[in-house]
Amino acid sequence: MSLRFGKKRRFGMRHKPASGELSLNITAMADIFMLILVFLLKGYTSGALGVSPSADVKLPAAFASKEHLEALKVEISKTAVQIEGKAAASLAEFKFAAGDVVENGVSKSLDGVFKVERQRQMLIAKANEDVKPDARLIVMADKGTPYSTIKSVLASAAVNGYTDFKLAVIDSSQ
Amino acid sequence: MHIESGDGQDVEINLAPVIDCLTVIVAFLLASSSFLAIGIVDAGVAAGVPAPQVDKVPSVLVSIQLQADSGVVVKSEGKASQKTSIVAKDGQLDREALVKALADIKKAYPDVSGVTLAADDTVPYEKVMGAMESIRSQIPAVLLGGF
Repeated sequence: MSLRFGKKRRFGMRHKPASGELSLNITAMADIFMLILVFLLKGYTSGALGVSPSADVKLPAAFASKEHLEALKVEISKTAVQIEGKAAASLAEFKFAAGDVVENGVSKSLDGVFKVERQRQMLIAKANEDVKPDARLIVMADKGTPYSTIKSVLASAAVNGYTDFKLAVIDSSQ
Repeated sequence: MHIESGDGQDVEINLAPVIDCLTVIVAFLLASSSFLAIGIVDAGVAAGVPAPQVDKVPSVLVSIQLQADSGVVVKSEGKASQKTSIVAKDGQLDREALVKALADIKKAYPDVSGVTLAADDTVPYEKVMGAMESIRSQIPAVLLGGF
């Protein structure tokens, strides 16, 4: 990188003194960038989950483990329940639409999506003996979500074989 | 950056493209990384699926009900039945009292390893997680109930 200045003052003392070219020492800058890169890469790989919640979902804080896992993800916000990033049910102020929740607390719309996901897992497991159906479910729910909505989501998942819930929280131990 | 070549001449390595590459990578990582430390809390479900086979049934089954007014009812059923009501403290869950009640149960029945946690319909998730955190300090396995 070289800059041309009117004056003949130089920072580097390594270049021809008469040309008026100024050479910035960017080796130090490269070092700094390398350090930032290493720092970011380390932070990037040490996250517990491979996902980030949506901007409108504020997770609660709790002491949590930092295990890394991949599983089906459910996100509950004020306006919708998303499964693997796709809207599965609409909510109004965290409440399911009238008629969507049946007597046992299961949401009809969520039940359909969970069923499809489960069938997909079963088909993969059938075709590949090394793969087993996964009962784990990562739940990312807004901290203001009422327990009735949490219950409906978990009940819809449980009747389709997802019974090992992993609740995503902001790790307050850090 | 200068390197002296074999014949005594200074050779300058052009670091500008390297800086460009590093800038792009850093920008990409900054844009795609999350600065929230997200962790995982394990929870099972206390209904909806067949009960797991256990070798030994604990002496008492402990269930905790969070109430809308931040009060808590701790129930133990089995060898001895007991019901403890914990009233809210300043409108918040009295965590110390809850931990003490569970510690007393754990002391009397050391084989208790799990608790069923349920809440009233309007209790927000944040309070459920707060209660779960307190319970886990005494009894590690928490099942969500109320289905």
